[in-house]
Amino acid sequence: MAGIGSAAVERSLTKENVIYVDSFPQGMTDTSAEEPSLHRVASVGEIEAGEASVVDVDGEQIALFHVNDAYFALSNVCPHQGGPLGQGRVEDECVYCPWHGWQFDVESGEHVQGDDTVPTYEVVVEDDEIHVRV
Amino acid sequence: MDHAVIDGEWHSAESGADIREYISDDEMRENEKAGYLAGPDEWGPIQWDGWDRSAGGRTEINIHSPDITDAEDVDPVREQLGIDTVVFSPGQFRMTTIPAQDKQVMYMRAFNDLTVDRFARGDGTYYAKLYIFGDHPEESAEEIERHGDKDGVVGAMITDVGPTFPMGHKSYEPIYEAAEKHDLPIILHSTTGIVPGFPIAGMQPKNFAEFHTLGHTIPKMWHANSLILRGVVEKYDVDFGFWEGGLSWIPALGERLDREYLERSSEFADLSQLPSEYLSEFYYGTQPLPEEATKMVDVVDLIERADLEDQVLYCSDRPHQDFDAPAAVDNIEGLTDTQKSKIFEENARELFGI
Ligand code: FES
Repeated sequence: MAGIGSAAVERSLTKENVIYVDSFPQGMTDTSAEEPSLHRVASVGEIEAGEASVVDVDGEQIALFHVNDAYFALSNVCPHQGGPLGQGRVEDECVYCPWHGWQFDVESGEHVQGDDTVPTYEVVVEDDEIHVRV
Repeated sequence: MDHAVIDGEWHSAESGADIREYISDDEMRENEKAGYLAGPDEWGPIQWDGWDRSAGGRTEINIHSPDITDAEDVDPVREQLGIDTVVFSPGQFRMTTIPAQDKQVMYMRAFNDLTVDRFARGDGTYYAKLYIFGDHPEESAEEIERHGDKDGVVGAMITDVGPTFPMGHKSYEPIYEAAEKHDLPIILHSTTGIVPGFPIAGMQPKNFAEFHTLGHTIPKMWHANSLILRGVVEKYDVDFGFWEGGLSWIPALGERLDREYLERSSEFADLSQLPSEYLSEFYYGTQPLPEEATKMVDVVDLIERADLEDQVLYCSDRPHQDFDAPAAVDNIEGLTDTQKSKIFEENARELFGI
C-alpha cells in the first residue's frame, strides 16, 4: 500500500493520551544535548515493561515502546488507516494495531505478514534519560 | 478536496434491554423484562453469537460499544474521523436469532421505534435506516408504512443471512411495494448471528476468520443473483444497496450471470439488458475496501469496468472491528477527485435523498 496521505492521517488519527515534548533544550552539557536532532522524551522507569508511551516531537507523534529491557520508537500512525499504534497490545516484540490488528515488529517497523512498514526512530538512552532522534 | 464526508453506515449499539423498553404493550414489556432468567439481562432473547472478533484481544473495537445510545453519542469519534454526516444502520441486527418466532415482529417494531426516537434526526448530521425481516415480509412492509416518511428515515436494512428464501422470491413483494411507495432503498447487510439459514448453517467454520472471509460476500451473491434472475429489478423501482461485502464479488457474479443468460435466457425473467448491467445499477458500500496488498483487485479499474462511479458510497461500519476510516478511500491511488467526491458525498445524497 502507498503511504497514507497527511490529510488522511490528520483525519483518522486518534489523538488521545499524547504527551507533548518540547524540542531538546539548548545548552545542555551531555553529548546527546549537542546533537540537535535528539529529543528527550521520557526517563527510564516511566514506561512499564511491555507498555508504550506516545510523545509528540515537533508535531510528529511517536510511540515509544519498552520491550525486553530496551526502548523502540515507531511512528504512532499506523500505515493502514492511521490507527494509534501506541495504544496497541505488545507481544513477542511486536505491536498489534488496536484498530484492525496489523502486526508490526517494534524494532524494524515491518508488518510481519505484509509489505507495509512503520517509520522507526533511533533511540538513545543516557543517564537514565530516553532520547529519540527525529 | 472540497466535499463533505457522508458515512453510509455507522451502527447504533443498543442492547436487547434498550429495545425492550420500546415494546408498546405494557404487559408484554414486563414479561420480557422478567422472562430471561438464565441469560444476561441486557441481551434478553437476542443471542450473542460467541465469536471472538478481536483475535484474542489484539484489537480493541467493541462492536456493541455500550456508549452509543443516541445519535449524538458518536459526535467525538465522528469528528475525529472527519465524517460530516452519518446514516445509521441498526446495531442489534442479530435479532434474527430470537428463537421465539412469535416475538420477532414485536422486537422489530420496538427496534424501529427506538431508531426513530434516538437516531433518525434528519438534521443534516444524523439519519437512519429501519430494520426489516426477510421472513416477516408483510409486517416489514407495515414498518415501512409506519415510519417511512418520518424525518431522518432514509432506508430499510435487511439481514441477508438467514432468511428462508433469496430476495427474488415472491414472498418479498410486500416489502418492495412499500419501499417503492416511500422511495426508500433496501440495504442488504450480513450478520454473524447463529441463524438456521443460508449460508451459515452449512459453512462449518473452524474460527472467525474462516467464517468472516465469506459470511458477508456469499449471501450478497445469493440475493443479487436472485433479484436479477427473477426480475425484481425490472418489476420495482427500488434501489438496492449491498453493504459490507466489499466490491470484488461483483465481477465474479456478473460473469457467471451473463454466461447463464446467454445459454438459457428462457430461465430468466424478462430482462431489458444483460444481467451484469443490473449489477451496475445497484449501490455498494465501500467497506471493507480491498487492501492494495491484495494485488488481484484493482479498485479503480473495477469501478471503471463495472461502471460503478455513481454507485459506490463510503461506509465506515463503525463501531465494528473491521471499520474503514475515510483514509481507506483517500489512500486508493488513481481515484480522481471527482470519483472521490462521488464516493464520499454525492452518491449517498442520491441514494438516501439527503
Ligand atoms: S489502522 Fe492499523 S491496522 Fe488498520
